[in-house]
Amino acid sequence: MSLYRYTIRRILQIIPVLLGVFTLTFVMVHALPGNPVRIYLGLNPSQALADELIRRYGFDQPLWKQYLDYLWRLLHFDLGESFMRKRPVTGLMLERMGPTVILMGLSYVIALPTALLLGVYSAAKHNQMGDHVSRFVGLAGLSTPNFWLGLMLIFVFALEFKMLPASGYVSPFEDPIAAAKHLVLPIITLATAQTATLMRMTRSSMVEELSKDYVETARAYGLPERTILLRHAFRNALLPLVTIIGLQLSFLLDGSVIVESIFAIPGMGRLGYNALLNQDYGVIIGLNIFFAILFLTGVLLTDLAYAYIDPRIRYD
Amino acid sequence: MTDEHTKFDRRRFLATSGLLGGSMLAGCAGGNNDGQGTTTGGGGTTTESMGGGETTEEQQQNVQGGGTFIGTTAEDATTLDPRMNELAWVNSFLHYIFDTLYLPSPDGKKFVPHLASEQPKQQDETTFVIPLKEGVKFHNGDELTAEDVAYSINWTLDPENKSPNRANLNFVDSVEASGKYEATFNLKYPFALFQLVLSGMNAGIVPKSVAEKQGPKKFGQKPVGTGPFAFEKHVSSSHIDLTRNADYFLKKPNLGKIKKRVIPKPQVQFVELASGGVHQATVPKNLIGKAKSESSINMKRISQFDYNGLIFNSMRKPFDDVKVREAMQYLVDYDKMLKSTKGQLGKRAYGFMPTEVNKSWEFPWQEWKEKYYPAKDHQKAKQLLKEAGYGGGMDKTLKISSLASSKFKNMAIILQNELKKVGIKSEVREVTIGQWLNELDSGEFDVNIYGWSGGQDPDGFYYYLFRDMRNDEGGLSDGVVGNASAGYLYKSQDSDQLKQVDKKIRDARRTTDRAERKKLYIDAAETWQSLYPHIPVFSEQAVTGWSKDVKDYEPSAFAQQPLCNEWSNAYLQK
Repeated sequence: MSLYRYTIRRILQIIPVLLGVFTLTFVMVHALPGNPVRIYLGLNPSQALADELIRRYGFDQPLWKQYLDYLWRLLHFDLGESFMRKRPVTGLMLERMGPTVILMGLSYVIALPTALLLGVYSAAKHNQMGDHVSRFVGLAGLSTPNFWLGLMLIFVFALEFKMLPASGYVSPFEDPIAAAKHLVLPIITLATAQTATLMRMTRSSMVEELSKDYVETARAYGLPERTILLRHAFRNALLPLVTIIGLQLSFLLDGSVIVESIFAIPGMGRLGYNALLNQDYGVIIGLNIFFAILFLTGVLLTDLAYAYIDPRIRYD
Repeated sequence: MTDEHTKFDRRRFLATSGLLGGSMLAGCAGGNNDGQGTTTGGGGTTTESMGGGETTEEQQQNVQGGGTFIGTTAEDATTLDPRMNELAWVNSFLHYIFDTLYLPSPDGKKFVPHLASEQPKQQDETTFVIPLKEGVKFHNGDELTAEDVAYSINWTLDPENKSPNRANLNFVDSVEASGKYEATFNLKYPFALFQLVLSGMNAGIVPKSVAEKQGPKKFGQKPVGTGPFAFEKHVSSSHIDLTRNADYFLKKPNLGKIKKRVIPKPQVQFVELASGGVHQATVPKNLIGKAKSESSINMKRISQFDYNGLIFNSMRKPFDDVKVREAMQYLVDYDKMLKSTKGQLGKRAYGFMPTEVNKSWEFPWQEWKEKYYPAKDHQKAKQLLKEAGYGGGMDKTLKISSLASSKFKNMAIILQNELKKVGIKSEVREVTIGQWLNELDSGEFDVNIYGWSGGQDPDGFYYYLFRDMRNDEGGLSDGVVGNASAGYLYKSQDSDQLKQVDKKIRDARRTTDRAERKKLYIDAAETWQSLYPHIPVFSEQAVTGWSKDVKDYEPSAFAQQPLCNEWSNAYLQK
């Protein structure tokens, strides 16, 4: 099967997966006790108003009908309206996409090379001091919760040293310097766990490769260590790493929820968090579908990357 | 009770649950968050004297030309249309964009004409004529007239518009523009809180021409009012910018701009304040010490008009027996519960009202304290349980529901420990807001931990928590057994005594004579306290901080627009 046909097939496979994601999300949000109207209006609301809102938003309809109505709208690229904000979900998501994409993208751009470098270095210095230090740093990064790290960075760099702003977001298109200052702490917070995870994977993958016979053979032939490491072992070690790199996207999404809340960044993570608290069905479903698309795209790209890295992989 | 209170109640209770986590400044921004999940809106705190008055010549020399005051809040605004807004902090913030007919004085004791030129002229029991100031301009240059006043109130009252604030103005039948600068209010019945409601943002005045043309959605995104600051920009979940209205009818604001930043975490708000990023923020309980060491910060402790306590489900065993409910009063040391939950940031509450309401109304709360709130006494608790038939313990495990908030959970665990000591098994369940509301509607719990903010008028507590909702227009909806507290007792007991108390609560809001109202509330309070439908434990306090660079400004419960109003005109020191 050609790469082209394989890609088309994989893209088509995304459609039933998305339908499954939508169905599951829909059922799960509706299985939550209470409904958005009650949460919106609080305790002892005007019953007439509550009834009116329940009718207007169709919450009085049977679940299957609500599902089909929603699906129909979805097929027309209409994600509906946010119950809490009374605004189209699509508009809200587009508004919040920029900060999240920039935060996640930059975190990844920093986490990935750092992790690869540290991982390769650690493997090259296997069981030496440099390896121990790298492993310790990796373990610490992995064990540190985002919210704690974020708050600590704020207390140290914003409160004590007054070097960086504690919170907020400035678009890089408006003021690149202010944007950079505002992004430093959130990116460190978000990238730390990513770096640690990827570094540990890189290290173990490299250690395994370096213990193989072909490395010994290369050394016997007198190839420079640098060439063995980067040209031979690293290329082979990349294959399992690519899988993890793709899957890490979902962890970045998780992390963005916390980081955006701590650093007051108006992104999609915070939008989703507030929507969950308020059972804002439209926003929850919209974001889940968006994140599912993002994740599936990551998986697709990972699969396609296999071919580039290892031409022996076939698509049939 | 102001309209804010009636309105805030819904949102305040959510905030009290710790889910909204609003972090607002009383007066300036509407409320406070201590990091433990308590929020109140403007008017939800005790009266504080304002540093105020006109800016003196000497002060004026220090006034920075313009300057931006940056405040903080924990949650975003969903709309900036006062007719459609539900959030407490937004209601307070909107006082910078919109004006009301009256304003409470800084001590909260009287109402000062604001857009109105004088006090309401009473024509008969239900008709009031309110003359307006002339020459007041909206931000678009249009002059404010009685048409705008009539439109603003009537629009909210129109069921077609589905305003969530309609219930708060429901005592008004209609408003007419009886002259270019004269509005006539026709009430459905005499209403004790008339002027209080008119001083709140649910009765904010919008320009008819703009609001009608734009519709509530667009108007809520780009509001136009008469206030000291005009809307400039709203970046969702980030900030709202207002700019000085140089033609403000009271005075030209000193500040050039106001920026309200949305910062969800109170700790981060505080860091921003301490590092000079903002001018005002909430100070979380665990950072008060740090704040004291910061020379650039002013701090003020503000009592909240709320109370937190335990609700018993009097519709099912064992709490259907008043002796079991009373036993719960003897079972726990509630002073300790307060101390271990809020430390110094709280006060015991009696009579289902915060101490400040008890004091300002001179209710006999100390007598109540003696009579209905005895000290912890396990022997007495056991005796009451025995008299109720539970001397040998209970064959069921009590279900204590608590919202996912450290405050409520701590209270639940303390109760659980004390129950265990008298041989009663219980389980504490942390529930989501949706589950919590379901449980309160359906009565599927034994004990529920509870918080309520009702404002400075007893109506905010009694009408909302203790009336028989079955007697409301439309009654109770299907699936709702009561109104989360005393409502259960109305059903299970259905006595003449309770019918009377429901009537008194309803009469109290239609009685304009304060002494008469006071008597009605005392009667209601004593009836309810003797029945122990729930136990009020404490009212909270919050600490708010602001930069010492901001002069002629002090957050207060009652002063709306404290950055620029009748009594103050804040500025940033050079």
